Amino acid sequence: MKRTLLASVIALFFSVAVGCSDDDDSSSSSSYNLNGVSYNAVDAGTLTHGTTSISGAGSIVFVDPNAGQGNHYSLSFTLEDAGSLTLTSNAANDLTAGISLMFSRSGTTLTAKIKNDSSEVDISSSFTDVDASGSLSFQSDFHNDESPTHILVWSGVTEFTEDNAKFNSEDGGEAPGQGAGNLWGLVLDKASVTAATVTEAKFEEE
Amino acid sequence: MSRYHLRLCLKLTVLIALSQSYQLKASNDGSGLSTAIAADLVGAFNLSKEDGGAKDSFDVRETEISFYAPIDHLFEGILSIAAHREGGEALYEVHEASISTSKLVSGLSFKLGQYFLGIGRLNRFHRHDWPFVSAPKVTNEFFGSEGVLDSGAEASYLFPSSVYINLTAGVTNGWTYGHSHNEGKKPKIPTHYARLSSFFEPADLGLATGLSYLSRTSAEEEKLQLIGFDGVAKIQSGSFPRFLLQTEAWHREVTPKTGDKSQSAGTYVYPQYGFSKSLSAGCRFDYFTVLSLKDANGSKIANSQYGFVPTLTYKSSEFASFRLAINHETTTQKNQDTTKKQYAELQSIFILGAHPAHDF
Repeated sequence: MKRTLLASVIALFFSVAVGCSDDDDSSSSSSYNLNGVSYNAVDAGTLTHGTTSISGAGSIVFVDPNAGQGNHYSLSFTLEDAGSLTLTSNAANDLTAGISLMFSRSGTTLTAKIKNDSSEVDISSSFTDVDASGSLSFQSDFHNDESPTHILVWSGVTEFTEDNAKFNSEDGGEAPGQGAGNLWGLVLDKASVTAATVTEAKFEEE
Repeated sequence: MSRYHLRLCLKLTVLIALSQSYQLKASNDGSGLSTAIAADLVGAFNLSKEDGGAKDSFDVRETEISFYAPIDHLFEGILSIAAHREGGEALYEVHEASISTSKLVSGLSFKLGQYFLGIGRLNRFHRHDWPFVSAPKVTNEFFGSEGVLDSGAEASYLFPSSVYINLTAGVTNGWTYGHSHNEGKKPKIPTHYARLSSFFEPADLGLATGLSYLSRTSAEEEKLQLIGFDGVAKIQSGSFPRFLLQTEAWHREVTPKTGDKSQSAGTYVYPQYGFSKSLSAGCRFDYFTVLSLKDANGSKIANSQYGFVPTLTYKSSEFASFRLAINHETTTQKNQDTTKKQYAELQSIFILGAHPAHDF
């Protein structure tokens, strides 16, 4: 009787476990949204989540993927001294295997780098005119269908051309490879983000 | 005339002068050197107030000069140089530079050099010879806006049978694939490909089909695999095709060293009706989807890009044509707004000199 009962419990346990399992790799925790765009925390850290801003230290991945390989990102943020913000494009859901654009602050100096999981390229010389202590706003194209990823960064423009880009990876500062995924996210460290959006790439290759 | 166009004209003038001097020399020594110059002029204009993705300008998309001739009693050669507009400047590059022969072994032809890879349908033809203005979505995604070219060797064998069956296979360097602005890196496994094709001609119908495969493993150990089908059907009416049906369907799989495999697929179908030798009309249907697209929670995300492109073509001869295409593109993805683009394309192509004969 006891053996039958135990066997029944074990069988019930496994049937519930199998029934509830699926192929989905649900590695992220509960969703938040920034200005209506849903994201998950990859590393909750000390992040403070509001509907119009995210601040603190940690990392997030936006829920909706980018089907296209050419994407345009708009970021508005501020950095505390020694703080940084990293935008990662074309990544896996843990923000690995992507290609990143990182901004960090030291006093009023802004440091910028392009990175992947194994290497980085310093592109700070393109941002020497930027006061890192103020509000920062950049738009960037990631053309991940090119090898290596073609990255352009603009600030304060309405038309996106190579001529008015603050940085163009084809003019020096070549990206260290391509991203391998379809997701994008942010890594914050003493940073506050008030806007983060993605659209189709704005600069059209000729 | 812009500075870009002036510099382009000056460079073309020099090239034409050089080619004419070679041609004079060739005609004197009977080498049979032929020269062809092709110009592809394209304008793209948005049809709605929203950004339709068009530049709203008319430009020289490409110019190409080709030299081809028998080299000796066994070999033939071709050199093709093309100029494209990049960053407002004319960027010159070698499209084709190859030596070939079909006279060493019966049924076997062999090519060595740089060339457009012998797979699919559009990839085997220069863009200015396509029956429409721009690349279908699937071609643009998998092969770039004008096709994949590389340096290597390609062999093609026509089986000795009553049915036309041809096998093409090749190996190329594979240091780059697609749009690249650097030399690339030595791959783990170079680009290798094959195409099995057949041709049938029942009555007035000509039907050519092919199955293609391509693979490459990059220096970063990312494996690319493509498999596709291509088909062309033509019904001739005298000297021109009364009816043309052209299609390709492709599946691509990209497996990175670490991370998930990515799978995409797409197709285009282009039916065209020839009213006369000069005038024809068609409409291309495009479809593309990322099969493996998942959100951050691992849930599959339905997505598609589809479009239809009515196209009207006028040809005064095989050396000059004018084309009007109206592009309607729709992009859908779960949880996102459907986006639509509408833009018109105007194209003019002209060819100076002799043009090599085309495959079916």
